[in-house]
Amino acid sequence: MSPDRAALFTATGFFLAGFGYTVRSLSRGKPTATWPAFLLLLAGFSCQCAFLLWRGRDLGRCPITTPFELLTFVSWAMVLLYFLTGTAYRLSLLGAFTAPLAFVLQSTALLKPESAALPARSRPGFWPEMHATLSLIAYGAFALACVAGILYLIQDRLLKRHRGMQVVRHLPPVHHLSQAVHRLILTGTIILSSGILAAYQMPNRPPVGKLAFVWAIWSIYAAILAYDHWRGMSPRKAAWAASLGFLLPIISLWVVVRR
Amino acid sequence: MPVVCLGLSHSNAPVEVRERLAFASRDLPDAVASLSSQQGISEAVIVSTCNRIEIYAAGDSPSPAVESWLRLRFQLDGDLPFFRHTDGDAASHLFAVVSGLDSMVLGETEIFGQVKDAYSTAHSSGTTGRLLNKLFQHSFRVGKMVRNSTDIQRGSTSVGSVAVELAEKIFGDLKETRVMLLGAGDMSRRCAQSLQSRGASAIVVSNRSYDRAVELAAEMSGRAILFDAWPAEVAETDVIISSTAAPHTVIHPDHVLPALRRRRGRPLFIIDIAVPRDVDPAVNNIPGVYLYDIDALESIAGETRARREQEIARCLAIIKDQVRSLPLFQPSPDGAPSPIHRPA
Repeated sequence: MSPDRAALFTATGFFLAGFGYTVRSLSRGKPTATWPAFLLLLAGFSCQCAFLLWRGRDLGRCPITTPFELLTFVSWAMVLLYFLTGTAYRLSLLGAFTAPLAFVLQSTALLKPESAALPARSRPGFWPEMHATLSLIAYGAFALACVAGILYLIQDRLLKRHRGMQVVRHLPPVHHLSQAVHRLILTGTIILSSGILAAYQMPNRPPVGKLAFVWAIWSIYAAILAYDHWRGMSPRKAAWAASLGFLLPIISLWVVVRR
Repeated sequence: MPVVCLGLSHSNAPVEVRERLAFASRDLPDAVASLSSQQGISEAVIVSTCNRIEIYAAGDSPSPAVESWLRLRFQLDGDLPFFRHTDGDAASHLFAVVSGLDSMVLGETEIFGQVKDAYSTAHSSGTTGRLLNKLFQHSFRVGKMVRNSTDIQRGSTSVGSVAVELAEKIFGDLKETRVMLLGAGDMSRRCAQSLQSRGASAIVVSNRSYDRAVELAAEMSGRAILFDAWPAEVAETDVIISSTAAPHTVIHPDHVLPALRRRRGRPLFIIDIAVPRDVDPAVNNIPGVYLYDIDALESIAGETRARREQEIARCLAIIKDQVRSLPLFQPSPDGAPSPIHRPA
């Protein structure tokens, strides 16, 4: 097995272990120490960095040339954004629930038959590379908003129904989660806007269908922000929108991966 | 040299008895010095709180010496419901006390600090020696061990602490939260004080009797408003604690919905302590509003209490192991009394 693939297998193992640790703590009703889950996520992230570094060095460019690499890159961007937002807003448990999504993305990547093969070296140019990289980082932000949205919906339901205090105690405060959803959607939309702008700077524009799909994703998240700004969206609606909205980036990744 | 623990607590003596034997904290250094100078006593620590008066003493014949000193000091006659533990049983009892197992609120942590203060007073008065130093220092380690490895102190056991815990799960940090009291009842005041102790600021009090509102607002460094003016404050409030004596509901969805639009997604926590209830249950259906009435709060506190009761056996097993690890304090082989005295 090549070292980059081995690094990715190890990262996937760390993400699975991080999620397993949290589920075990929650199911036993025990206090969840945040540092083991954080360390496991950090270890997984380090392995992802090693993979991207090796691949990037071998390819001579950002490693987002195959579906296998795309999925890995989105997973890496999501974990990176967690470290930037989760720790800043003390949403430590968000990390624990980021781990399963990272695990799913990584496993899907590793299951692709071409995951072992190294694509041919090519230099697509600055703008195409920027467009792809920024779009995938934005997807990472939307993925994290989806996780925060799901956690919000669980916590909101438990608090409304006056039950499950054992679980309520372990989940972050609802207000922090709704703020995280908003900030992550805003961050993702800004980054995706930059990615779209980069697409229009490319010497050879991407196909119309592909651009239309990216615009559709952008429109959904921009509409959420606009509605919230002008009309005031309830945190529950925003959480549903963030959770279901991520289906579109997932579909676009699925289309790319199936190619 | 035997070590004895003699005392009484909330479980075996009513407050009328306990208050007769209570030591004021300023008198403790002199009292413990006086006790340790008695014939038959070489070391002594006095633990005196509102729920217990316990004397730990080591010496040639500490038990009769402690009792006669107490009778003389407080001019007691007749039988008093003292419990007595010796050596390992005294150690077991002290470990249970510092772990909160013998407290009125099972698992509470205040007793740990109170015992630490009592030991510190005795230590600085020079009334502790090899035996009691070892016993008390080990008890603090056991107290921490019990708390860290069991769920004996997890969760909230009173309405006030449940309200605080829920507020923290809704808002996170309570430093910026604004609280409004509707009605000036004692329970709502205590609830607001619990929130204040965790950083809640800007208390607003609204009551049908404006004078009472002013009085309570002054007590809590807050602001009083006329009762008719409270709906206008909802948009600026994070926690509403309602305990009016009204025979009908006071807060309806119509009061909350317009305010929510101006709150821009910030949640609203409503605590309804009144019976009959002040808040229309339909308010809980509004997104972003969390309504808890007295039954809901009591039920959460009750669940926690029940869970803590289930943890007692685990705590006692730890205490038993720890007493075994102290060769100087072996428990009596048969018929050892329980180290805790919880009411059945």
